[in-house]
Amino acid sequence: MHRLSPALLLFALLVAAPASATTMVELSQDELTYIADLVVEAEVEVVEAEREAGQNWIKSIATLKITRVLKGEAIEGDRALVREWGGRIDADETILEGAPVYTAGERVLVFLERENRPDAMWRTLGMTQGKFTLIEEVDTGRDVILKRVARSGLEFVEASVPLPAARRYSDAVIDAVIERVSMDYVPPYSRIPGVPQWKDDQFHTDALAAGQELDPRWEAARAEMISFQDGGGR
Amino acid sequence: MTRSRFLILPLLLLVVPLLGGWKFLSPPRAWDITDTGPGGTWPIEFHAGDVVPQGLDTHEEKWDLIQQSYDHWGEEVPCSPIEAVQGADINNSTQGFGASGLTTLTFNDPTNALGSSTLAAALSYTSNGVVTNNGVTFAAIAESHIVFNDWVVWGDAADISAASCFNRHDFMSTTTHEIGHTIGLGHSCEDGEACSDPLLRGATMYWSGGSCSSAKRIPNEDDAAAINVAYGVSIDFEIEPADGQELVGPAPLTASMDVPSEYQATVVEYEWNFGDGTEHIITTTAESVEHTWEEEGQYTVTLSILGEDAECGGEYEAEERKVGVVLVCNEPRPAFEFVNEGDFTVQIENVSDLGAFGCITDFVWILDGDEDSALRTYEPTYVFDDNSSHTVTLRASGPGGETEITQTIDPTKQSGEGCSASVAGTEPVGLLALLIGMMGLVPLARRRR
Ligand SMILES: [Zn+2]
Repeated sequence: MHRLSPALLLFALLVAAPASATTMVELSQDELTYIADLVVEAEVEVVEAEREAGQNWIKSIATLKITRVLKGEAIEGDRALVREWGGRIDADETILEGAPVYTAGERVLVFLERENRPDAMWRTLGMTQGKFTLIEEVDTGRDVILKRVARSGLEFVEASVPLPAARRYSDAVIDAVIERVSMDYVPPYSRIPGVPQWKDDQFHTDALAAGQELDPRWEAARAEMISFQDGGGR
Repeated sequence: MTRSRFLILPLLLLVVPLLGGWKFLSPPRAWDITDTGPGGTWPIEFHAGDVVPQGLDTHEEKWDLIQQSYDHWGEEVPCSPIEAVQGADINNSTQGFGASGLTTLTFNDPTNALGSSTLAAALSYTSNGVVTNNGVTFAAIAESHIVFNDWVVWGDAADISAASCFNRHDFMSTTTHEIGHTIGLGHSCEDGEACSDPLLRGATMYWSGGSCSSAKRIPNEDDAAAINVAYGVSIDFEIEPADGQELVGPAPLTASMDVPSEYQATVVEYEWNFGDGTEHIITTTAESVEHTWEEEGQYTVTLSILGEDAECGGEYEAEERKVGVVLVCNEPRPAFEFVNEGDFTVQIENVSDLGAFGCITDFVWILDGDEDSALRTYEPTYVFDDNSSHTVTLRASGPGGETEITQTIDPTKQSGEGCSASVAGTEPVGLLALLIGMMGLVPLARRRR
């Protein structure tokens, strides 16, 4: 590699392509449903890359037109803006392994949470875990859900996506979500990393109200986390 | 490329989610290990946020665990040159992922970069430089940043292995995983998907991790193979199916394996494992070897070598695995049952043996022999207008061939109840509802779009 002067390094960084990746805790479908603020079927209308002032990385904002609401404060026809790591502006590209990628024209079933920042948009819950692509089975009109879809270009062409012989249909997942939401189902409590404190408090309260017998160690563990955070742990 | 390979390979890539194995980030990026000396990027100098991550005891412990995590990539991976040295404190509250000219670790997500369920994430910036190793061109990494999430309690080795461990995540496992990303590695299996191969699930670069587990602390063979391609001595081989065959096809399946000359220079012994439990073949020269797989399965071919290389400090070992490269399929065994739901509505249940290897790639349903109205679906529902009987054919196809079965369905009876069937697999499913009839057939209405 060429040795770089600080000035040259700065230039290099500006044209550089950040890449990143994550490790996460696996969420069950019930946890996804409970933790998510919004669960919808939607169509991706447009995806735009943004570079925030003073930063070198790029994020993408997908505009989702909601076609069905399974959980949350929204109605059919509303738009939801989902911001994710990764995107491209000219030759500069940020890639985040583990972040979901949305493509215009794609139909999705998504579990969303609010970003924790002043100009909050939506964010896919659990990164790729909270996003399913819907592909219509041509011969019956039923939607099949896929996790991994090869994509290329700026437009999603549903008809070009091959389906596996054994298929998981969206009805089953959607019915389960609707059922869980309608019965205010609370999954077994655990302290999920990164979940904001107010939501964890709600989860804890709901779990007790639902009659869950919590591991007695949670009390001390939760108190310790809260005091760490309050003590300026960051 | 023959027509059948053209058809089957893309299908497999999309349909069989089990294929995997180490990956580089895309596009590939790596550190330039020759960029040493004043102002150079090598060895990596890491800087850490000036706080103690929750659950750890002291700053010294934090620095020590990070150093050990880097060292895992250098010392636990044969022939790996990965090296890192401790730098200085940085302001934890402002660092995050921003480019700063330093390689950093930030704790407790002070810039709110991460969402729920994420333990940590890594991001690297490249310069204009490039690095080439083993025929792969990488963008040269200039700096990397790891951000650990908030609302996580970390533990050291003693905390994690203690019987009393509760709600703690292994700091070293997560740090080693994230460092793997910062030196160019992607995930061993697709994110958000189960992964059946224990080697890939057990890799440091597997995408998820649970509490009180140290499973990802030490890189395994899959992780090591990636490091060797990017930074060290690597080995590779070619695999060619026998004439008239494909690597995906019916049993028995034969292929030959060869090591290209550019990989032979320092090798003193070759050991071939064909993944099917048969005896390994060991040779001291790079001669072509042939193998036949007899039974249905998806097989990984592994070449392990012993070599002599001064740059590697003398004797070394390396390995190349082609995960799931051979898929051998028996003929499909389609089977179905049906449930009469009343009003001449018949719900079909597909009970075909799907096997574990994705050997069925297509199901087609044909009613009364009418190929033009064939349905490509997993389980159709038929709505008839009267009680006259119909024949239903299920055709299953895949690399092992094509098989079809036909049953006669009486819309007033249940599966197995007095109907003729040309195959096994029709158990009685319960009692029926039935009625009188009109005529004709109403195909299941298409739902929308
Ligand atoms: Zn990761």
